[in-house]
Amino acid sequence: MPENKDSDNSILDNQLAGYTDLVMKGRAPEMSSAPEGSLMRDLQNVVLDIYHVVPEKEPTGEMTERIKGTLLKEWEKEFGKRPPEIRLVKWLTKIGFSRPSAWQSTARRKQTLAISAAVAAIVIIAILAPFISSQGSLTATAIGDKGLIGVLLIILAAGSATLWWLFRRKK
Amino acid sequence: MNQNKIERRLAQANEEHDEELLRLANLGNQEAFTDLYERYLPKVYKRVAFLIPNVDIEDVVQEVFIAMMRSLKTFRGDCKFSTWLRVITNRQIANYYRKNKKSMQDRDIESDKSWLQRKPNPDHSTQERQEKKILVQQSLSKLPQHYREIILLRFAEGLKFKEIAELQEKSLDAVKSQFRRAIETLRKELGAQDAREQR
Repeated sequence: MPENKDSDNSILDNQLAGYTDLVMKGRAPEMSSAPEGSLMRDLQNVVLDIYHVVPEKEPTGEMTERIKGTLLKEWEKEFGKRPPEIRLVKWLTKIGFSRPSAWQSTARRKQTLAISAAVAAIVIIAILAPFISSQGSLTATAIGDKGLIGVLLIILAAGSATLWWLFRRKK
Repeated sequence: MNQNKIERRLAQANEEHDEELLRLANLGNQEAFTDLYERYLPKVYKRVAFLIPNVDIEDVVQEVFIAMMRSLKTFRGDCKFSTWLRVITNRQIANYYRKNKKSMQDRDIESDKSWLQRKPNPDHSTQERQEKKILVQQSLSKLPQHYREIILLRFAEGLKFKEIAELQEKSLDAVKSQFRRAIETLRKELGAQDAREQR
């Protein structure tokens, strides 16, 4: 028995959903194939009642502007008093770097990660470069001091290029 | 590329655009905020107009966006921006009904009826339709939140059942079933309201 009831309900669900789709498309909303007095007919009538409540109008241009005017005044009250932001933070935000948070999209997280990696590489190289060249004998390998500095310069250039590219992309 | 893929990509691009506007608005960028306002005004308007008497629609819509502005910092990204804005809209609608609780039943019908009577020779069907609208709005406001929501998504926002299923992360069958139960509950509520009106 419960199985029958489930399948009855499932048929009813699909019929009502189908009817609602037709009504929403504006296709013969007053027509119903369900027999008079049946549950389906009653439900379809409720669907029609709701359909007639659907607002036909969009917000008018005047209303849009009026609300916008009020919002801008409120905005001034809310944000006009804010202390100016630190330039570096502003610049980093502009190029796409921001503190990772749950609401960031995957693309933005990747971008933040790439910028962090490029900045970190440049900083590390800038710190290590003089040390490596003075302690060349300890760290230099088969490629030699000049080779090592060359590699570091290439990494530095790549890091800078990445930053430049990301910055351009943001613009 | 099939239609579904294109739709999904468009939706994703829209979400990312919202995120970006939200981030800039949070930094105090007024233009980003007005962009968000213009993007979402039609949706908010439809939802509000569905449940609130005509005369108060503009006020409630305005309250929604002021509430949104004041809550920008609290948006944590646990859900989509559009979902978050729906919650704010519903809260403002609930506030409206709470504030007008005592007067809603009397005032709504009476004020709208008197408004209709002030009009010279009001069209009978317009009047009937207006009364029906008030009745449906009142009944909708009494439905449990999840039932009201599915009706709003389908009728006010015009989302298809498949889109509602994706939004609510439910199966299509579950959504259709919930919709049917919502309509059944509304039918009972409309009957009860009608009986109250007859008295």
